[in-house]
Amino acid sequence: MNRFNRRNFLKAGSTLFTLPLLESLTNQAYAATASGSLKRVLFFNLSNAQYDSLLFPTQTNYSVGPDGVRYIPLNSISGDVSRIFTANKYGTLKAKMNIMRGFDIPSGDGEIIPGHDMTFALGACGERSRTPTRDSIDTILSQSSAIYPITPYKRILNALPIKDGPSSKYNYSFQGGQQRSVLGGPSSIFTEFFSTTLPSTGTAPNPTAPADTNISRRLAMNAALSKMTGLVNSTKLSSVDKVKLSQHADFINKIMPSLAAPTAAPAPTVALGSGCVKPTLPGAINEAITSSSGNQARIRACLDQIYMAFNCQLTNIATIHPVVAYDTGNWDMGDTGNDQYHQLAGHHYDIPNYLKYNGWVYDQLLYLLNLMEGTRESNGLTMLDNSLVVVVSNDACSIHNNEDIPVITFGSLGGLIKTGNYINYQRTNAAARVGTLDLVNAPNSKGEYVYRYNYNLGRPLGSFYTTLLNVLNISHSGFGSYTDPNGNYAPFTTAAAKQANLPIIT
Amino acid sequence: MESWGKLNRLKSTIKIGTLGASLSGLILLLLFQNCSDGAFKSNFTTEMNSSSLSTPPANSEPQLKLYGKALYDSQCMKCHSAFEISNLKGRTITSETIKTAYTSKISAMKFLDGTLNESQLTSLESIFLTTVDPTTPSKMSSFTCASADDEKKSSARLLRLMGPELRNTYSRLLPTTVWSGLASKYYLIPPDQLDGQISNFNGDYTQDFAEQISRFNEEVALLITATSASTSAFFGSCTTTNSFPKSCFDSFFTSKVSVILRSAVPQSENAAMWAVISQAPSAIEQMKTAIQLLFNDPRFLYHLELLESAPDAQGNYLLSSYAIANRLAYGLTAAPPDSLLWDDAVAGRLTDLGVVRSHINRISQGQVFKNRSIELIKFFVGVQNSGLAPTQPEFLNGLSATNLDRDATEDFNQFINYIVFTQNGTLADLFSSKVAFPKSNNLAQIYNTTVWSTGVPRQAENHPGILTKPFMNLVSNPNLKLVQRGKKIRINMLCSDVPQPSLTDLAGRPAMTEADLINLNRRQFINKATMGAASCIVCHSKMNELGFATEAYDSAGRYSPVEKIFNNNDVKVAEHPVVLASTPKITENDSRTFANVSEFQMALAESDPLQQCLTRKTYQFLERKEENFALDSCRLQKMDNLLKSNQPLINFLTENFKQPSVLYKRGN
Repeated sequence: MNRFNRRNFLKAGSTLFTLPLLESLTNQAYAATASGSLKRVLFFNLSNAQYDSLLFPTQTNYSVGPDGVRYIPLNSISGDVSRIFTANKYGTLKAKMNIMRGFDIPSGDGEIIPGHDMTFALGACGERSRTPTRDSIDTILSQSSAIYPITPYKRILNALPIKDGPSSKYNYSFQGGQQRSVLGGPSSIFTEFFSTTLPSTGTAPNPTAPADTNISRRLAMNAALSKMTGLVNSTKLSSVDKVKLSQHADFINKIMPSLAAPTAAPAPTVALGSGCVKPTLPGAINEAITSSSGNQARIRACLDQIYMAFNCQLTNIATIHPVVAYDTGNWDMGDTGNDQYHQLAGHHYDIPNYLKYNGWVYDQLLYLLNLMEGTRESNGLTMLDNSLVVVVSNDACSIHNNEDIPVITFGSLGGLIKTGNYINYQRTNAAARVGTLDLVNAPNSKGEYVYRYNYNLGRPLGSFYTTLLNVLNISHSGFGSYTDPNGNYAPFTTAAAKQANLPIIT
Repeated sequence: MESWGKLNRLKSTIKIGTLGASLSGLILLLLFQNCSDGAFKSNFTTEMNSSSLSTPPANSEPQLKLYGKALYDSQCMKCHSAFEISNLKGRTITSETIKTAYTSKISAMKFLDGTLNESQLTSLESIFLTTVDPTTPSKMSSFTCASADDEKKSSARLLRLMGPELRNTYSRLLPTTVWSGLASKYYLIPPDQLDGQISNFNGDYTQDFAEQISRFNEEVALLITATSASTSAFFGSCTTTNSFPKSCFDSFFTSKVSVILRSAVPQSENAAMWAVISQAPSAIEQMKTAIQLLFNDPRFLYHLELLESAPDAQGNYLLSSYAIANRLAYGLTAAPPDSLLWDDAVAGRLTDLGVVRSHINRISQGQVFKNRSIELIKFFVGVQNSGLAPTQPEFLNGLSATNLDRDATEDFNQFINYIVFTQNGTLADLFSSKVAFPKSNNLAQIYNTTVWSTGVPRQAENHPGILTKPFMNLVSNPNLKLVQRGKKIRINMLCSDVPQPSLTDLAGRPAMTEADLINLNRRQFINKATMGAASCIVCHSKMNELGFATEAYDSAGRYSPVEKIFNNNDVKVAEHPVVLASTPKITENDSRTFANVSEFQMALAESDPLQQCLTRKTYQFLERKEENFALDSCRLQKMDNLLKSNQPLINFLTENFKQPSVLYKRGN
């Protein structure tokens, strides 16, 4: 089923290296800015709940894979996979996608924390602190030579369809714990990526190692570590004090990999996509957040440019939230009527009405997916095959919590990710021990749910990002803190577990 | 989605901590308002006009069927952090305060409007106060000191620099422009709004904190090396951003490294440090390395007390002069040693208890220690900021509520300063003195005195003792919150446990009617509402009467013989004469009745539980850790004895560090 498994990818790769990259010759104008890799990752970040009954198949005839993980091959499901992923729209993409569920954000006290926190979605913070302190996964990827063998024109495209408004609440991208600046509206993307003459002809520059910006911190932390180790091994500290300093030393050890000196990038091996064409500036699009119409035109203008930035290899990492106009008022969802996004999505478990909105959002993504799937690249794969599109939300299948978060992926990252499955990472033998859930899992007097939880514990969301780093050979010390004093996630919090891949997709 | 967006912005504001004006407003409103018995009030108003209420009645079906901590976790934690580390924990935050916040004060809390019933609000109120830190044993222990050998014993806990200590240390060591330039990075280091909260110091060193302090130090290095002026200010004039010769490092090492690491640093470390520093490829990177190397050193981050001498027969190690200096400086001032203390540390003179005591006497006369003592007393009474006064004109009766909280706070600070330092007063003075410092007409009106600006304090005849200070009693609800006042005394001043009411307890409370409010006096009303079930009586019998003793002081802090009762629509519905006498069980078998608040306060001040509680909380505040009855009893007994013998409070406050155990550390 998985045409682009690792073995086949290697085959494809060997073919690639023997090809003269003929398709790219016509685009040498952009060669100087080519990223040097066809691996792209797009994070399509959603807010609010993603209801299980809309996203997931109703079938429960699971197969059981490694580590007891349950899955159903999507090709075994005839007709619609789910109410969102219908045969009509996604039939041709079934083999190239994964529908995953059962990712959790473990909280400090073992209970489930509320959702709606963009700091968690791409892993910018430790699960317990809820304070963004580090790079989100898109930032880590954008700094990797696995994604950029040579320095690209831009390492990351972080955009929103709206120009103004409270962009911070839709911004999931963090660097060093700080929110990354956002390109607000399609015109901003154009200005940043396409307004100037693209670099003229020339050869790709020789790869150079990135500057070692961490050297002083690395030297100092190594010295601090040495000092602490010396004290712990001395007779000058009480046994209680030794425990505490040892704990600190352990934490420094965990920081150190992120401070490692960068290595020289390998020579570029691929060049531009065949369809690289400078787009025109989108016109007559109201990008203001107060505009309650034109949402579809606005987001598609963004997606067009992301597609072209990928195609021209101006950047290989993008992150976007398909935010629309103010959600507190009526807004135009294109052809599907008016609704209020948050009230439907986050609070009331209103399946029929939310289907309209959620379906609209996925339709916009489908627009981009079809563009990518329709672009054959120099290694013989489609752009979608070479890429990974990750749909993730800052809320879960349920309402206002971070339990059972769905992650939908499209593409295989050039064969590194196995595709074509509905995978349930919830653990059948581990029910959440939170008695209060019974109190909230009921509709109010209006029949609406303010909160709604599932019960089965799954795996830390970070394990998905860990897998992503692993398949790209990006060294790491585990993604996320997995602070879990109650032991609900103990199988995934050991040092070894933090290095492990998710079953089924690898 | 809009509401969570606001929440996140609010959260960001909180992270910036005390820097933002918005936070100060939030703190005023949320954290420190006093005492409400709003549950009783809302019960009856429900029957009057429930449609006008922003809070559904107590027995209504809430949208979110959560109470107490579970409710906090689902609704509050997003902005206020996990409960265990929240700055709300241990505070007096009434249901009324919470309701006011989400109905009219804080837009980011609007999402709560109409979703919580009174039982839920009360359950939140309960977890905030009943979990006040430090958790204390339910029964008081007597402090014993069996022998002179035991006087050297003390418990030990490796503390890291936290909160004000960390900031004071950085600010002492860094050039002024560098420290001020780091303002936008303060979010990386622990906030300072937890002063006096023991939990602030008890946290384990989490990975996030290890990362954050490391990143903060990187920011320190970046700023110091930003200009040649700042490199000169930190390393010496022999440096520029392009030059950091070894000779400069040598002079820097000699003059500053020991001060930064607050310990003796042997010359041999010079070569070891330079071996690391010189690996950096340029002068600027070398300076950055030196800075981060020092500020990530465990001797900087921790209060390291090394076992460098041979232990005595009881297992006590004599500390170095440096370690003793740090104990005194951080305990008494939350800052590094001053120059005189440091000089004696360098000279090795602080292993002499007489020298130590002379430094304590000197430091205790300084303003920093005075300010810290005021914070200590606030920590003891469980009120760190004043509440806000009611605003109902009929209640105020010509009094202006504007800035009353500010004026009451200043009055309280002056009161403590006067009793402890000016008057050399005793614990009895603290609970009986009538001195007042009303700097505004409003406060003078409350005290029924003339305005004070400087010099001899005013005598407020109807306001004897600390419990009658407006700072202690200001609360925005005009109806007396006597249960909360009693609860505060029981928990904070008598160190007793008051468990959180169970869901069954909350659900089983009687519904109070408007007729109850109108016809019952305050005590009858409260007792009917809280003493109906056996499980409720257990706690309320320990709290209610303690609060009743202060009934003569209204929600604006005035001495008032009549209480005006208001409903939720701010309509006065009754007046009841207050009762002055009370029968609070200060101890378990106490059956005394006190005629008025003066008698009550004197009995309180003379009681063993209060004296022992003050002793323990003083130890906790100064030592930044909980006491250990097995190892710290000698020290606690010495302090307690000073209270029992009616010695001046200044002697009591400094006694902790004057004991022989200040020189020693246990080896396990």
